Amino acid sequence: MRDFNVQPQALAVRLGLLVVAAVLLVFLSRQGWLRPVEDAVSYVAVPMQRALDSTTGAAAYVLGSFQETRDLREENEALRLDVEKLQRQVISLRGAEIENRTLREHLGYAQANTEWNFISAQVIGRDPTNLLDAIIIDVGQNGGLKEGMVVVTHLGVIGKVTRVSAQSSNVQLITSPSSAVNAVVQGGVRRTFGIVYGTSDGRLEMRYVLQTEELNERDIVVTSGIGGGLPKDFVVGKVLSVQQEDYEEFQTAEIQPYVDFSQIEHVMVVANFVPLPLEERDFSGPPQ
Amino acid sequence: MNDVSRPAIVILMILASLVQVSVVWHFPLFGLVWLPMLHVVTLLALWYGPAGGAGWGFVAGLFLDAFSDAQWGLSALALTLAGFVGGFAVSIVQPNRIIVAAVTTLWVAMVYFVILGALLITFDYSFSIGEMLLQTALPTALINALFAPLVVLAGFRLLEVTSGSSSARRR
Repeated sequence: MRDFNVQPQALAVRLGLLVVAAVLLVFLSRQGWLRPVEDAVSYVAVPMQRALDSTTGAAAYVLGSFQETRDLREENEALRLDVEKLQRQVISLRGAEIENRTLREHLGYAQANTEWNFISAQVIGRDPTNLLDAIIIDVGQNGGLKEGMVVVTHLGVIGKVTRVSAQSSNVQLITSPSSAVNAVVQGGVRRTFGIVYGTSDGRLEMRYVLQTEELNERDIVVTSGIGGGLPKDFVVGKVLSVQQEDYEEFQTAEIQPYVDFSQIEHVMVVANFVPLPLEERDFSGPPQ
Repeated sequence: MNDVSRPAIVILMILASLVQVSVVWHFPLFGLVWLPMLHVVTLLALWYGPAGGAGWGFVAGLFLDAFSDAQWGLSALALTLAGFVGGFAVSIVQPNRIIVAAVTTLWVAMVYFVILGALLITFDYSFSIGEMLLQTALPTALINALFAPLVVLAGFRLLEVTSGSSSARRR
């Protein structure tokens, strides 16, 4: 009911009750006491999200394809009719082709990395707040996922599972400002250690690299395995640029990931890597 | 004065949640995304005032938390307060004006992001609130404010027609 004449006291009570309810929800959710409700919701929500995401992904592709067709028409008006006819066929086939190619690349990657067991998953959503740099995947507790598991594509590591419900999981990307990955540069003679952080504008920065270490553009950066939070030797990206100031204790490098984080559709979760609990991790730094 | 159907609002919120989580990220605009739920909350805050804005903000946030597999209660708390402050616009100005829709959306979005950011920092997400406000919150709020005259105002007119009321009569 529209009511614009609510007394300030009644208004404060209503607002207070809602705030208390929300805070209570946060508390219950953090304690895990809402897990049965969250799981029940995910049973209903995930199929809807999966269907919607696939449909819109195809629609986004079709829109992009129309743009391509327009460019071709300008370039060569004589071939316009042929292009349109072919384009219609391409549109219907390309979506499946892209998916097949990604899955084939994932399969090849899994076959080349036999020490790891991978669980394949589809991206069905993104963090709706735009703050966390997180994705939602369509495999959860029922598919064997646990919090802390590492998520990769054939191009490198993309993040870690931060929340798991029955049917889906939330993955924090390494580009998130909350993410920190112990990494090592495979460039010069010595292995150069540092920590790769996400930034607010979605970039990756490798910090805490000693001034005495050698860092070059295009050097490959991989996970170091130090600390036990991530397995070693998963590709993070390549060095794009190095910022070195004589008066600073450390140098910093901008890292360009091989993964295009805005285009991730399928991922693989490393099933047989169990991260060490925080209290058991060794944070003493790289071996000298 | 007839009231708007509550089940219709709930269905609208479920649709907005699904669109926000699973659709809009396919269509980024300069790397930013449209947040339909913000528009729904702004619309309802302008329609119902602060009390209704807070109540429907809570429900909207709950749907968003549920559909995004996030910590339950975070969006609920942020949108409760955002809806509450958004509703105050009604007591100051005529709500069915383009500029009011845009400014209220901007205001609701900023309150939402500030509270959400503060909550996330409280729960050990480490990011700079200043950078977050400048690089994510403000641009996203501006983009959504640009859409507001289309979405919020159109929704407001629709509510007026379906409920048989009008702002002029109300005031």
